[in-house]
Amino acid sequence: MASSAQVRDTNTPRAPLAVPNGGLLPTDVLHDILLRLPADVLCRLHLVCRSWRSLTSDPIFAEAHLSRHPLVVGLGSDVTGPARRRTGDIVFSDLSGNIVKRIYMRQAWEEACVEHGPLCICQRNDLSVEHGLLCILRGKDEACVVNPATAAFTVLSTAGILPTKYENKSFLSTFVLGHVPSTGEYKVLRIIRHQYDKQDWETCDVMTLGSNGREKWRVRPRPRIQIAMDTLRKAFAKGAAYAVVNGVAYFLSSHIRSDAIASFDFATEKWRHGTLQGPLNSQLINANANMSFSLANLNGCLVTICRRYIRGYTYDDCSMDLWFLTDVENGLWTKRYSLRCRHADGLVSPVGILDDDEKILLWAERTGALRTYDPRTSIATDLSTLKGIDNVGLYQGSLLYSDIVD
Amino acid sequence: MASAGSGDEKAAAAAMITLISSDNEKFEVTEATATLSQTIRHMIEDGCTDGGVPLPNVTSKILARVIEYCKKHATAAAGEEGSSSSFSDAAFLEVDRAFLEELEEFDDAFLEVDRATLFDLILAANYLDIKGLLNLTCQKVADSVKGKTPEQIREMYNIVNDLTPEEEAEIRRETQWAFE
Repeated sequence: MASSAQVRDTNTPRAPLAVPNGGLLPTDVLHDILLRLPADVLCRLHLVCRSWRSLTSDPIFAEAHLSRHPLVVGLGSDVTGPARRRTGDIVFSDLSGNIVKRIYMRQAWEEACVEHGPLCICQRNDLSVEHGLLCILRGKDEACVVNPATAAFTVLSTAGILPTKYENKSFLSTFVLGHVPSTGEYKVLRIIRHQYDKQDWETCDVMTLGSNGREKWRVRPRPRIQIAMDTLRKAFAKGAAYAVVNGVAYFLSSHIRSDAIASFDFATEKWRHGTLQGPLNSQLINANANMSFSLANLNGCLVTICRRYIRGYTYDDCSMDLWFLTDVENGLWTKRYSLRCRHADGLVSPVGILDDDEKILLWAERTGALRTYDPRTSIATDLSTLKGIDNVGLYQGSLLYSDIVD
Repeated sequence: MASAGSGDEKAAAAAMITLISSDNEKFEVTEATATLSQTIRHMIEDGCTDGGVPLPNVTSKILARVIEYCKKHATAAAGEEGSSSSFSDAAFLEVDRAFLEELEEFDDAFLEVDRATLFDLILAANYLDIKGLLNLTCQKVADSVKGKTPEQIREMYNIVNDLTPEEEAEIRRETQWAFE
């Protein structure tokens, strides 16, 4: 990376750089030209020569590229059959609906079988994205971390997931990927809840990634409140029951009439004292029976999505308020967006906020519509229809380079 | 100076600037045309354009083309605002549709040049800091790269492949998806 950093520091690039294009264009102009190209074209350009490779895989270039060509990522799904079925792929698309990259997980999982024993493709899986790494949950006790830039992936060991006496008992699990900003480490938090002797038991473990397969789960204290596990919450709150922001994982309480939040710090590997109060007071929540909550990380800010259903629990007519945690220290929330969803396209979720203007990017689950919503004019504009993609989120990493040690 | 564009009458009363190419040819242009170049605009603001503006990096052949572009686009900006203020994105958006189409046709025709000229235009636009022209020419190059193989690009840009077979294999493995 050293050479490309040097290239960038050239403030007076009137003198053409020696190599990249035979001395024909100054580096900053070449930079400008390459920024106009989609990620898949740029990856093919890695093969031109060393200089082009270092220019197009440079982190600063990649960041500029991503802000100019936002990407969404989701899990491939097949909706042609009677029920929605996962295809086991990870799909990256631009906002116009062009698929830029597809990682065939089925093949990857099968290759992993040689090392890790047989695995099956399950119906249910979940996707958590953190700084360019993806964590996919499949089944209830298996997770896989994928680096999309290199397509390298790690199957998280499931050893010791349950004491023998709990085997074959029903249990719920959540795997959450976190990035520690101060150290650059990636960690996975695993929470398992199971019933034994009519009592709920909960375990909480953490693993640091990047130890070349020698990763080990470390037992951590349990959360201070009963947190919402995705499956339980799904029927009611639809949408994620957790979000990771700046190295902290936030979880909604499993109490459906509460917007209180528990938080786990990936740096200290501890649950924070007390719960973070949600944006609404409990009286208001109790007065509005048709209300549900979910969490999201929108452009680096924790957001509580509060939905109010106008006619029973259907998404065809609901209002959505987006509360941003603007003051983390004092737990202050600000309502930045408030919109009404009346389209017949099922659950509509905020995916992110587009950098250039304050428009919010929305994704409709049933129809796959990707649209922007402008809060100043209250106008929603359809951008494209994403076919065969589920769990759609704005991708914050880069397909052009990876600084992550696999 | 070459013949004046039809839209220049309005601005004719404005101050004229003399641009001097690397091969010492003099071009007289209106301030409105010249100030599409941020570099020249700053020179005018600093009052150092008396006696002409030497442009040692631009040949007369390329400077003539650049001036042709600036005249057309300065007219567009002036026509909308009724003044000789510079071309800006906001003004550009408000120019009426017919004129916009004419401008697009002009731009398309303007780009019908060989690669060497295109690159020279980019260098001039970059040196003179003419945003619109730089954007236009860079997009043209980007579009020409899109469908090309790495080999074709090396040929186009006269680049020597300095990657070792091992590095190539590594890149192919990492970016295999992009070739599917």
